[in-house]
Amino acid sequence: MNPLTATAVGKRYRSRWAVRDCSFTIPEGKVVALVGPNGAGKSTLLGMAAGIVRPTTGGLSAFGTPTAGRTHPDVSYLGQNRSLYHDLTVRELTRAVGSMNDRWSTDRVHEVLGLLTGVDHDAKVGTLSAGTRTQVAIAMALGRLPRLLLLDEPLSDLDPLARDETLRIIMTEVADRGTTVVMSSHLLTDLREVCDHILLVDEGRVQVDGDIEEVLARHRILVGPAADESSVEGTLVSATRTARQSTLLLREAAPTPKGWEGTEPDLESLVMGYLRASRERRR
Amino acid sequence: MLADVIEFRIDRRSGVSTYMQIIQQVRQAMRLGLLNPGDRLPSAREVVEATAVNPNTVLKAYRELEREGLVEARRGLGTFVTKSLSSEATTGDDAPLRQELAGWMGRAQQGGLVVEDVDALYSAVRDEHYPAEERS
Amino acid sequence: MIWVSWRRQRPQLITLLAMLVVGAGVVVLLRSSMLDSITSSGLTECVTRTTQECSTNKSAGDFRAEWSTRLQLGQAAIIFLPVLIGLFIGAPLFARELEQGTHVLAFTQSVSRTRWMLSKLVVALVPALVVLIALQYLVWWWLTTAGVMGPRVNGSFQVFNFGIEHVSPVAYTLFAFAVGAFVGVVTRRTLVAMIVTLGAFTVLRFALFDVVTRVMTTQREVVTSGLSPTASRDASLVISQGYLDAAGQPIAPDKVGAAVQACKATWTPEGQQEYVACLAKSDLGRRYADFIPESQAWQAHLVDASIYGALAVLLLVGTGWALRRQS
Repeated sequence: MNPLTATAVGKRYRSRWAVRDCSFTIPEGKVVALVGPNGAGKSTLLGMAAGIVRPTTGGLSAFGTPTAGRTHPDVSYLGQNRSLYHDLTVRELTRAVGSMNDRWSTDRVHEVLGLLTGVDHDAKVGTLSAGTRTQVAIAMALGRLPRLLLLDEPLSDLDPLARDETLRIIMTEVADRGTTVVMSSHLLTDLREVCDHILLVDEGRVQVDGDIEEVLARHRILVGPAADESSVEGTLVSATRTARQSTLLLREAAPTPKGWEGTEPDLESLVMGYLRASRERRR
Repeated sequence: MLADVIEFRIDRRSGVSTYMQIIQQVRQAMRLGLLNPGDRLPSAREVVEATAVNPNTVLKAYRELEREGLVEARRGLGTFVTKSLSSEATTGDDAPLRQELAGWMGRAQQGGLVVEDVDALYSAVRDEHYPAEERS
Repeated sequence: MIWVSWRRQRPQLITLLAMLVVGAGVVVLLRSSMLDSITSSGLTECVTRTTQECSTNKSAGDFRAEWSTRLQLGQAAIIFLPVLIGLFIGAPLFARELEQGTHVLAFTQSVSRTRWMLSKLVVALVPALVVLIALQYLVWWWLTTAGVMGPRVNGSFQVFNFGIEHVSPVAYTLFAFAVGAFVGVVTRRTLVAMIVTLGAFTVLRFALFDVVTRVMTTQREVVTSGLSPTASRDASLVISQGYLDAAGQPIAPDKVGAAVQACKATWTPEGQQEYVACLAKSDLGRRYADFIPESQAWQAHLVDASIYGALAVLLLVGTGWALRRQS
């Protein structure tokens, strides 16, 4: 049973579609980068996966169970606004979240909090810095001993040290328990090094989905004369052209024709190519 | 438990993927005699704790090394080095070739060469002797 | 789960407790001071009976002047407590969570939304009801001490007396609380929920004011014209009164008005026989009063409470439904 499967899922807010007709599957044990520009639909997608946002069309299922209206017991979710009780101390919060769960490990929470620098257990959650609150929220998410961890912008308000600490905690979780992780970010560089699977969304639609190595291997960047593109075969994703030179991003490209230089793209140029393409479609 | 012999240093700005960096660093350590048959590679968790990389990547790199016949995974115990890549020529600070290179480097320094000059000379000579297409 | 709700509701619970302590202290002090005043002015008799002497006695007059406002304030406290509970405990209960997004924390744990809602409801509502009932009985105890020299003289059906007795305050509280909770979930705004609660509660209290009288079966007392029915003089609740024709049917008020106008000339302060005879001639021989006796006030309270209680249950079911739909 796959940790997460989306079937033609869509969400409309009033007249605007935040997510539209998205289908994908996330295999077990992957660390998935959910990337896309701000407003691409990442949070809505994660919210629907967590069961707190109701899809307008289609649906998502976690470990084979539809997620609408209820968070799957094996799924933990970190929302973008971190949703913690600010009037409780960290210790009380741990107790509170624990008492709302059937399966819960206070030891795991303490273990995670112990790895973080300077979390005072008797401090009110509201007095902690935004970064520390994020880390506390991640600790709570791990206390549920999840098999799928959904993290919405987990690194957005962290300084470099806290970012490293946090990634270490998440990666240790993957190493120890084989947890599947889906992390969103509007900054690819945040996730580049730690993810092995990419889900690129823009305009509410999935643009790229797959293992990073495989996705890169499927694409080519060709640089050649602007005058003659007829010899190039493959699905054109996007192109930048000057008077003399064309740079093309191709999917499933045929062998590089004469007069062109072909290389495998790196992840950044691949993502940029797709985002540029979806921008142009919108115009 | 065996003590860890090596620690990976992942350079995120090198442009080389984490996966390749791990493979290269293991090979390097084996060539230099820092890793010998019977030594255990750090577990994925140990690597993750030290460097915050994806454990799947570490395991994938180990699988590649295993495919190359350099290491062997033993269930529940870890991944162990099975082959020696080191030779008299590369092992230890007093290996003759290393001594010679050290002597050369000393003369370059005395001759007023900066590090870029040394690198340029070294890679030029290296590429003459080891053409790029023959290297893996 | 109960612990979480308790811990999160703690500031409100402490406020309630403080209200109870202060309220109880004030009532106990006022009552003992009032009791002193009754004894020292020799009015002990007047507490239980309304005698000629009691109504003309100067010290009785002084007593009323001094205490009636305070006693009415005591009543007002119990009249307003339900809507205050609805405003400050019911309305923010879910609205604040939804406003601040903290509901997401609970919704993404394994506890079901219904159980989460119930535990919050119980923890917020039960202590509020306990405090309300305690204060209600304290005020009742204080009012009873004043007896017929206080507001109780007007009987159980008088609006303010009715509103603070028996199960009615509990039912009003349930209703105000449920309105607050429901509107809070639907609007997701604490302030809006509070305003709507205040409005809805006030409007409904006025709108449902006489529903009880229409729902309950009444008794009919018939007397000959010239006498007035006892029901309109004691503390019974008179629903309607007028004249009956020979067939025993109530006569339309305009006909009665015309007849009374016609007989008016025969009326003299000394004797009414002629007037009564005139009325009898115009077929107004008998007067009637449909009423609910004071002894049945408890039934009226039960009817009242079941109306508000049923509305509250509906609203709470709606709250649960809205929370489950929440996304």
